[in-house]
Amino acid sequence: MALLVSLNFRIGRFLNLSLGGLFAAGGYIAYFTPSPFVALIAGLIFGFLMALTISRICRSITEATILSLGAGILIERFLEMIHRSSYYYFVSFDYSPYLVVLGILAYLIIFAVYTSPYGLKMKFVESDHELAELYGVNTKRVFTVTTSLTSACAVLAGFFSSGLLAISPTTGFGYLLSGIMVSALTAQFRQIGAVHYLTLLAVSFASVRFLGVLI
Amino acid sequence: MRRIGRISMGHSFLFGFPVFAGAAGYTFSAELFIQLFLAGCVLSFLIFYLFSELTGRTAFVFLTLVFSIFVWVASPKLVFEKDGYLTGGEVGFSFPAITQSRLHITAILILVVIFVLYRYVEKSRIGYFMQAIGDDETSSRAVGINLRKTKALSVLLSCVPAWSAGLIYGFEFGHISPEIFSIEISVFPFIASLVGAGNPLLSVFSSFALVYLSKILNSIYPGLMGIVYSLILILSPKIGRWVYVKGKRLGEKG
Repeated sequence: MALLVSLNFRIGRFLNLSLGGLFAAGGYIAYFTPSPFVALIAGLIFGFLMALTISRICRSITEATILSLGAGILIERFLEMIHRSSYYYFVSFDYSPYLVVLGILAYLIIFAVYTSPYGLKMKFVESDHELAELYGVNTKRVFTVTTSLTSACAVLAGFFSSGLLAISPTTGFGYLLSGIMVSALTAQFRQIGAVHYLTLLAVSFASVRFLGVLI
Repeated sequence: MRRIGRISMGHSFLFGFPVFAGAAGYTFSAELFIQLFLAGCVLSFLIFYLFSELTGRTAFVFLTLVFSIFVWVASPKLVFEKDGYLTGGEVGFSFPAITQSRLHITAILILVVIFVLYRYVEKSRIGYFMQAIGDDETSSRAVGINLRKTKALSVLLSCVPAWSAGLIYGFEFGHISPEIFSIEISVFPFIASLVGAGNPLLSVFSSFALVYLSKILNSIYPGLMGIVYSLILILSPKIGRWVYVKGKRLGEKG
């Protein structure tokens, strides 16, 4: 979760508060239709639509963050409507080993992107958004791709974690909060590129080890 | 707080923390209820004042919101044992109840007093100082405005109605649960202010309208108002600009 929050904030330039709702949605998808492809597609579509809306109507980080909060509440409310029991939902299978695979895969993709020529553009967007635009980087496309992929990853993370969770509409908020905390801690090191994400990984492990924070 | 350039999205903390602490104390004694309520008021004021000092405009929005979500997630962990029974957790604590008619009169009186106080402060010297800080903090410091004092007063003015509302809420329902810190309560002041075009009087009316609309919509389908809130938040950049332009045109005509 810290990785997704960090990617959205550094490249998308907003605090994506819908990630908690998307995580919970992943749990519900696992409960109703245990197919990771549904989770992937749902996350991609949601992320794409949100990125499109943000690009169209938001002019600042605050506006985009508030919009993502609205999107998060919308998901939570929708889940509450379909959650017709006063008890938590539980799934009978455990996909959690795939969560580790998803995490490793996400980091491998990030390192592959940052070491490729495209990584330079990403670093440009991270360090100076306006300058990147001046140098011809298609920042809108980078933003849309990042938001869509991180949304899909959040839904998949919820899907694969479902075996370990008591599923409820607010399941994702604790994870989102921990992600924001770890991400904010890592931001203090003021690094960019793949090094930042390596530090994020180290801080995430340290948080889990010493503070019991969930990543 | 908007006047000093700090938009809070975590007012559920100011609204809920003193009453939640007081309700936890009420489990043991009425004296502890009063002491913890007052301690909660002081602590919540200090935390928000500290946030306003440490952060800028954008970071303040994030920090207050994230902090209120943190309290929302953490508060169910507070569980006490009394006479062999567990109290607190997701269920919450009981709260002293007051006769409804008295409570409603008190609520209206508090509303009127706060409204008059706000109008007075708005037109006073300190109100202009707040406006100046909201426009440009550096220039305000340069012309000799005491930033700390003005910010503290502004935070205090924002805290008082939230504390009062929280107390009335507790007396109304006779029970306080961790849901008092929920996101809906956090974003309610923002939505009411947005719908009310940032005008204090219109914001009061829009708050009443939203509460009644919530009762109607939730009776049609439980949780429907939450969908409306989320759609308002999603469209808030558009709504905000539209309301600003309309408000400006009305002002020019006036």
